[in-house]
Amino acid sequence: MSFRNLKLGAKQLLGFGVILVLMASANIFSSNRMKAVKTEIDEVAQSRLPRALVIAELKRSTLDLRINQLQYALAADAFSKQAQADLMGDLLDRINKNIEAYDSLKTEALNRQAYSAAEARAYSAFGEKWLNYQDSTFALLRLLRANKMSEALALLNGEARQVFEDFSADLGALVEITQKDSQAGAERAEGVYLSTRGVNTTLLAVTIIVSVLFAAGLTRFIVVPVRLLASAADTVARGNLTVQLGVNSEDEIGQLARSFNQMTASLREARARMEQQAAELQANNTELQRTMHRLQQTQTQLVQSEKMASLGQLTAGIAHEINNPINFMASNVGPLKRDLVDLFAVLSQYENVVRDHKLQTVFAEVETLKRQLDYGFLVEEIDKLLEGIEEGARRTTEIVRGLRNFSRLDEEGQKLANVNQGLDATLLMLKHQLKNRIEVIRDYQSFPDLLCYPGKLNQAFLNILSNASQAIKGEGKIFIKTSYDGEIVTVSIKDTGVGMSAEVKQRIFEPFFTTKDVGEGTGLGLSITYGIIEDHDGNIEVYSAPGQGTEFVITLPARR
Amino acid sequence: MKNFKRILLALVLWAASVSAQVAVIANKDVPMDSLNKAQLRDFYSYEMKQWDKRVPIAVVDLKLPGEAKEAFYKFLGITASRMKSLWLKKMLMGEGSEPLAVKSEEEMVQKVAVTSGALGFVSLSKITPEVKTLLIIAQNEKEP
Repeated sequence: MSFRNLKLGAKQLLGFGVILVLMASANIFSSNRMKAVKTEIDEVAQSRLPRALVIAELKRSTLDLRINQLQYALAADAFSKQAQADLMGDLLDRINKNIEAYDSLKTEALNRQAYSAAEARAYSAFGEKWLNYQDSTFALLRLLRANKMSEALALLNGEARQVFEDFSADLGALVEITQKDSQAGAERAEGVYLSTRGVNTTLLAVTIIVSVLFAAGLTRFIVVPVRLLASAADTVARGNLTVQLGVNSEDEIGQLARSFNQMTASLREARARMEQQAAELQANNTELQRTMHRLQQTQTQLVQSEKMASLGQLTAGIAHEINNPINFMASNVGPLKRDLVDLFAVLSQYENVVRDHKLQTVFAEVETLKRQLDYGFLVEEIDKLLEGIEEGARRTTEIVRGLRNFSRLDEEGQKLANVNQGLDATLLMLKHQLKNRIEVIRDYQSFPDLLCYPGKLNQAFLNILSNASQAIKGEGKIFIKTSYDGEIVTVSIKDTGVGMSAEVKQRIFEPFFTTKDVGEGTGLGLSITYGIIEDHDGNIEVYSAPGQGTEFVITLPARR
Repeated sequence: MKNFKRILLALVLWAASVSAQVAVIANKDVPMDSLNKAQLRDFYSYEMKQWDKRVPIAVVDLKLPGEAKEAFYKFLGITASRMKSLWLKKMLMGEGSEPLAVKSEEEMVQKVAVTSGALGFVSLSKITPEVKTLLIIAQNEKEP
């Protein structure tokens, strides 16, 4: 199992462990070494220096004893002699206490094997000489008790002095030895301290290096992958789901990366599914909109057909009512003309009789009346009036015929009807709009009657033609062309009007869409047209551009 | 190696302590046949000056250092120096006298044998019938 495959915790533990071991070893090492230093220092502080102090004290006390003995020997009176004797006892006690203190320190030092042979030699030399000195004191006391003063003084200044100087020298040597040993101990301690410091510094440097390496490792194994993950997550958040992370470790980061990859894969899948659903939804929506559009058209058409049905009935009624009187007029004008011709023939015969029988004077008053009434003109005028009446009657008849054609709206069910005739009837309806302003150029191909709703079809034509006439400002032309290929009837209505923009063209079949001013158009015309063509299972297309006129092409399947 | 040295040292000391068995001896005229440690100390340091009303104590000290002397003082729990000081202090107070000093154990036995009220010590092996043995110091607990 390589380091790479360790869990993050294990990696950290390993790193910290190494650092800890380094620090612990540094600590253990230095604490051991410091123990050695402490031992040295303790030896100096708690044994050598106290021994040196005791020796110094001994030296002082023995000197005091020596002086005391001299004074004791020279004491003039009993009182001062007693005082010196008391002092000598105290001094002896003090000296023994110091010796015992030294002995106990020496025993401890021996136990620690920290007692040098040189010191032992010097001390035992002192011990012997000190015992000798006490022996000399016995002698002194003996001499003094025997009142042998001069001999006593000789002893003090001779043998006793010699012994005193000897053991004083020994004590001096002892002080020197303890001092030297203390010095050596301090130096050893310093040496240990310095070497420990060196080793510690090295260990510290190693620890720092290892820590830095460990930190770098942490960065390499945690921070860098986490940064990668973060940037990958960012990429995913921006919508790019193709991100895949290379997984090359078994630790938590590796697991995270794998989970991340799984997540992006799931996201990709989910998004694909979602897009598919969205597409289906879009399709459904489009279908729904189309259905709704048809529904609206149907509704509009329903309203319109209802309206047109009423209009058709009205128109049919009017046509019927006008038809009778106009029939009277049309049929009576001919006989009236004939009757007037007969009447004028009779009058002319009257004039001939007057002229032939020279009865002008008799009919002078008639002549005068004729002149007064401008008889000649009167006759001519009657002719013209009759012609006018005749023309009026003819035109009225024509209008009525157009109305009746148009009012086929109310016809129920489909009928066979002639499309070309339907177009003509519609044109008739628009005659007053077109008048002399617009020239209608018809190019009809004759074909059999079509099974259709003639009234509705006429209404469709009417709407297109009406728009065409309105699109032509001033003078212009409307081209109407029909054709038949055996299956499909094509009707093209083209004008030279203002045309329309692409935006307008897209919306012209929408109900209530209008480019006219409010109140001028209902916005229903072309949508009704569209509905009607659809009712015939036909198709209507529009070709237009601003300033280039508009062409509607209606195709109707021929059914019989 | 260190342990070996220690064991060796212990053996040597043990052997020494065995060989340094010390007997407290007295002149035959002393009225006591045995002594305990406290009595020995009192008598030897002149704290007690007489065996009884008739016989004063005469302390005999071995002048030179040796195994017997060392063992004896160790048993008393007092240093030779301290003992000497005690005697000196007694003398300064005018209460005691300087102990008799001998230079060898043989001389010690002789001195005790001939001195009335004498109290001394000697290695067990040096005892003669001329002296009375009051106490045998068998020093088994050795102190390095």
